[in-house]
Amino acid sequence: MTTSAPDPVAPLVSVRDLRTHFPVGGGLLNRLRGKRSVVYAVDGVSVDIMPRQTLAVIGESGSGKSTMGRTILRLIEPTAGTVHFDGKDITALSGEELRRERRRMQMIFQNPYSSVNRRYRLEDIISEPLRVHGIGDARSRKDRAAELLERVGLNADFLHRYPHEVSGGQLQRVGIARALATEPTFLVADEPTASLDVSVRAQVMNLLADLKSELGLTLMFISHDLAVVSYIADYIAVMYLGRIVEVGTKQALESAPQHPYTRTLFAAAPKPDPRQRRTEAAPLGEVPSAINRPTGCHYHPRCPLATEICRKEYPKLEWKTNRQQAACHAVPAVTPPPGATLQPVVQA
Amino acid sequence: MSQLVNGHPAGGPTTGSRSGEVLRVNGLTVTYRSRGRPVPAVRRFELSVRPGEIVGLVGESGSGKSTALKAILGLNLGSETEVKADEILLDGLDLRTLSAEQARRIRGGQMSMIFQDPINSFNPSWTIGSQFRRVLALHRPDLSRSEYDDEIIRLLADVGIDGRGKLKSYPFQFSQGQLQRIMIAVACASKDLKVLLADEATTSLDVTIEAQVLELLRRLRRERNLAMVLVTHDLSVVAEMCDRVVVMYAGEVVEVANVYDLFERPQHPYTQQLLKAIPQFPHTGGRLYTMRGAVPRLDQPIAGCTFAPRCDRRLGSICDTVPPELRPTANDGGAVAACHLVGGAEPARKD
Repeated sequence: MTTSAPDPVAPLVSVRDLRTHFPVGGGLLNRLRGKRSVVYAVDGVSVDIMPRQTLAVIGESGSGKSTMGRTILRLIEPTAGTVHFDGKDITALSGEELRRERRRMQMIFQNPYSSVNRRYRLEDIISEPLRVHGIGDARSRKDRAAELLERVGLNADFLHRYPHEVSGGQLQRVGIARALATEPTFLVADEPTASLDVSVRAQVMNLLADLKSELGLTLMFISHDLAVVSYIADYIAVMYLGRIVEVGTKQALESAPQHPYTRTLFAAAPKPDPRQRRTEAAPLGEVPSAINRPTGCHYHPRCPLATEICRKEYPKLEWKTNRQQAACHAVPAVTPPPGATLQPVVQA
Repeated sequence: MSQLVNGHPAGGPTTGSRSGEVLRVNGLTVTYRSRGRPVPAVRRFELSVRPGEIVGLVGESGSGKSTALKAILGLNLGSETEVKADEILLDGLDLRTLSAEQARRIRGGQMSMIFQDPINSFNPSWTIGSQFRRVLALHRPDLSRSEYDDEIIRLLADVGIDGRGKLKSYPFQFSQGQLQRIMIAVACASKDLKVLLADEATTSLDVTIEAQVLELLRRLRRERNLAMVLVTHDLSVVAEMCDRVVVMYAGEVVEVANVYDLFERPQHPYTQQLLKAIPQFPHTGGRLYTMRGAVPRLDQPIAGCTFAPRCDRRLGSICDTVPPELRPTANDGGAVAACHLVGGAEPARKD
């Protein structure tokens, strides 16, 4: 594929068999003994994100969702696999070429306070990507910073303030303005509302939804907050111990989750209605360590449907309905119908 | 009167009842100092909890809910912080008059607190066993030293942790969910425990682990008839767990009601707007409702109602000039709200 105008139905981001492994226990003695364990943070993820669509990635701590987001942007180097962005394999790029592509893909972080330089004024925080990429001069960068502030619902008075002088919600807007500075087409948002109060969270979510439609952004939205995901997502991927266990359209997952883990996750979320108190027992166990993963299907020790094969063999990610795929031995697969709206995804 | 059927109070809600309360707080005021200026973080705070009752204390960051809880327990809020109260009664005992030593025996003895972040609530360089033994030494005079370890294993088993062989482990060797359970076991070690205060105790946990911890808290309430105050900003946790709810805004109680009334017939506009702002799962409909403005700064005096600038149902100048008092609402059981719409200028709307 070339860099010329992309096919209108081609995915903007195409991830294939992405792996990010971290060696741990790297003390000298352990190294001499040849004992090094590996955290399989991301272990064979394949997924496509279509232009102007939002893929939400959900899963519990340790599922690898943040590492995956960062690896896709090459903030973390992948151990294996490829990421094609607009047809270009960015895992093969380096130096100036990579820098040029990075303008078009940016990140919004969870904690606004720890993701900005506290000694910078908001103007400098927002225009930093422009400086880094050598876009414009001092004058035009300042104008652009003011314009971006307005774009995220803050006025130009904020240009000269410091991070500690604004609220968490306002600083998260600044983080969004900074991410938009280089006019990216693809944004990875990693739990952007997790540290915000409910009233502020709604403001930031509405802003993201507006920006997405007005600027035609493609979004990877990483979150454990199902309600927020339900508001913004077109597609949902569920991760467990470094792998996607279910992926499909939002409607399909919400109305009929196929993987037992997805069902557990949805049922576990408390509902803001005292008449809908949960009656079932809480789910069993905890997410196991990504170093010593269970054999076979990683979910089998917690799974109510587990059988002998689940202990031995990792299940393939297969079509379970015409709008979603899941990796589960217990759920029968269907033949992907020709009119399937979801891009086929291959799992190694 | 505190008999529970399936975790719900058997009788009707008895918000106004003065009898049988295990914890009663009235007129609590906490004033911090910031750059020499007084910041009244908690004002006119009141709370009452009956045995076996779970009361939710909700509000956004900066509403003063955690500060109020810490002041009730008598935790150190800094040397320049002033704590005043008309009444802090724990099972009839006036906590304001205790000596430091008496207060220390109450904390962890009759009233305990669990915190949001379990890893920071333990000393990282001490084993779990040694930290647990210190608590037993203080609050379990019925045990001899040689009995401590058996009792710790039993208490840990009670929260679903097999402690055998793990007492020499350090906090980092446990998962977050396990540490939260261990913290609950430590907090409940005393046989005299009457009130458990939980400050965002499940906020940092994953949903499946949160569900497990909430189930554990419900079981403790059922088995030991513990009273609990859950401080949280998560209204879903409130809906799931609480019998009664106290809503705070900008340092003050703005509404008290039983949990069903609070969610179905909220009287204070802040409660109404807060409920509207919760995103639903699955999401239906269009944009999320947003509350305009932000929580006011407390280092300057506020004339009138603290919520007036953000209120969707502001009446007029009265809201900007006269601070509303807590008054009975149309809801049952002595429910109250601090709003000029309630019981005063205009009858409260009942949907």
